[in-house]
Amino acid sequence: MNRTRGDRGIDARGMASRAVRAGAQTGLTWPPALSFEQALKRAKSADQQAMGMLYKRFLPVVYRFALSRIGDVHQAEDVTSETFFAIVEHIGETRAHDELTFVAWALGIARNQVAMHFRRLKTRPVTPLSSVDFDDNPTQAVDRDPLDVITARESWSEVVEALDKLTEEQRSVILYRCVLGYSSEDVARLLDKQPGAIRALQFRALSSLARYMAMAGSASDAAGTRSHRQVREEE
Amino acid sequence: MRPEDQLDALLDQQLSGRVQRAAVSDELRPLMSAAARLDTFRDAMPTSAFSRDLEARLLAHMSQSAGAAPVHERPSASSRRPVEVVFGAIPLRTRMAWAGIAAALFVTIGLGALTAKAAPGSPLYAVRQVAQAIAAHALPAPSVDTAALVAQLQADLATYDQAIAQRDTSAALSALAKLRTDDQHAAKLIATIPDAKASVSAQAQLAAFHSTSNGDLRASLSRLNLQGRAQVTDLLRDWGFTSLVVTRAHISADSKSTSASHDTHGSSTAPDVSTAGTIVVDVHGTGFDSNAKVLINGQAYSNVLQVSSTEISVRVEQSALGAGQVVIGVENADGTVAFAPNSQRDEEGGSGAAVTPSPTSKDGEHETPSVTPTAEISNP
Repeated sequence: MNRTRGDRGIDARGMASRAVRAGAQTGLTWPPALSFEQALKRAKSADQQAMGMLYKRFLPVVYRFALSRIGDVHQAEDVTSETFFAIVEHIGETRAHDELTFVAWALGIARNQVAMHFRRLKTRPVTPLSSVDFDDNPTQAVDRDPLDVITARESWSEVVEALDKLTEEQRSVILYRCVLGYSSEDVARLLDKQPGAIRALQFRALSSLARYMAMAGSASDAAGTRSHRQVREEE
Repeated sequence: MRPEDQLDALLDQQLSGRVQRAAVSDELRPLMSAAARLDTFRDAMPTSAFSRDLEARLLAHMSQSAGAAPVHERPSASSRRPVEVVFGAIPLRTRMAWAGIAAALFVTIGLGALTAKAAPGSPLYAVRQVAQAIAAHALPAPSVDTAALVAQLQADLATYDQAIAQRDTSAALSALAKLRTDDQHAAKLIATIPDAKASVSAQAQLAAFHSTSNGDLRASLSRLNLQGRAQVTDLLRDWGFTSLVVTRAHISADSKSTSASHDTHGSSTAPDVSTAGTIVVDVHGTGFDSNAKVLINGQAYSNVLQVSSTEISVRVEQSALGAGQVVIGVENADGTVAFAPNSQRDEEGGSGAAVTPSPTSKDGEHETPSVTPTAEISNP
């Protein structure tokens, strides 16, 4: 990846404030100037402008999905990047005909890329980026409250670990519904299930998630308190 | 409202930023809290630098790929797999059909070879028999040259006529036998002609030959001995020009006779016939004309007691029977002759004896036919 890491600094709390609100509204509404079907058709014909439109529209979707699965900004960007290269390579083969079917196809690619990422991690363990980030990018660490950064990363870590304990279906429903913001009807179409089944899955998934996070939170409360004290004492 | 639906509604409110904390029940509160923890991901956006960089690289890659091999373009011939190079653009369905035909041919040829060698008892033997029957029916019937057949018959008739003209009875009878054999062969071949029209035409040619031969054969009767005349009569009867045939003869004592015959036993020896008085000979058959004569041992007797188309009776001296076997026949006025296959002496329990024509003498004169007794004759 030929990327500079200088601009990557995003922390959890800062994201919420600096997120592009329009893009964060994940109800899929395409600009009326060009229908999604036309854009997809042109993109299949290697139209760069149409491909650029699709990229801009679905970059947040893919990125959020990758980030929520991995919990690390840099690795999420890597996966996002690989996902979009795969999309460009295979867009001529997709049978998608509308936004939802295209999203389902793109998220399927993203899911495969995440799985490949985890396989690579098993065979080739890397140093956790959270600790490297401060060394590589001290400016950003100085710009932000290190305590906030640590807290945010711990929060991500807890959520991601809790998400990993869910079943694949429960995780998909939670991510599509609560992270990507689709309605339960859209999720039902994306996963080829009935909306009622999606609501039941969602209820069980959030119950499990809450339980797992509560367990993780109580276990880390003591350690978290100690870490805060250490940081402030060092300052 | 079910908790699942209530949770779904609350999530919708949370996503739109209109969630009312007071409306959340205790049961759903931890669930909503867990969902709220995911907000950090929902609001996450990649940095603008990353977005621009990735977009630039994607479009560059896209243009590069489009220049090298457009997404929708078929791969070039050099990059195709060998099978595609060999078969070109032949559709898969066509290739599959060809493969199926080839496999079917292979199986058919293999089964055919096995069937041709199938021995009785083998499961394929029945198939072999069926195949042979089909082949026999499918093969074209041998062509029948009717003209050649008729020409052969005419040649046989000419040979016969020549032998008659030369008064060579033996040669005439040989030619007559050949004529009869060839005629039967021709009739068989003509019967195999499958085409009805051609068959009728051939049969008409054969009938025309028979009609013209009828005159020659009848004209030759006067020059033949009794045996030859009987053979000619047989041939004419086969062709339908006469119906003369003798089925049996019956020898009985004349009621007016004062002496009675005595019994003679012996199955393989000549029967002994009494010579005292007169006897009556009844001959049965068909085709007798009103001037027919009875032949006894080659001698014609015309002093008939009664005659009809099916029966003729004569009274003869017992001495006419002579010693030994008796040959009885009928001679019509047109010269046709037929002999009885057997005669029967029936006086006081007499039995029959087979009568066959005797060989003809070389001079062609009437001779007494030989008689092969097949049964005992008992004389009165």
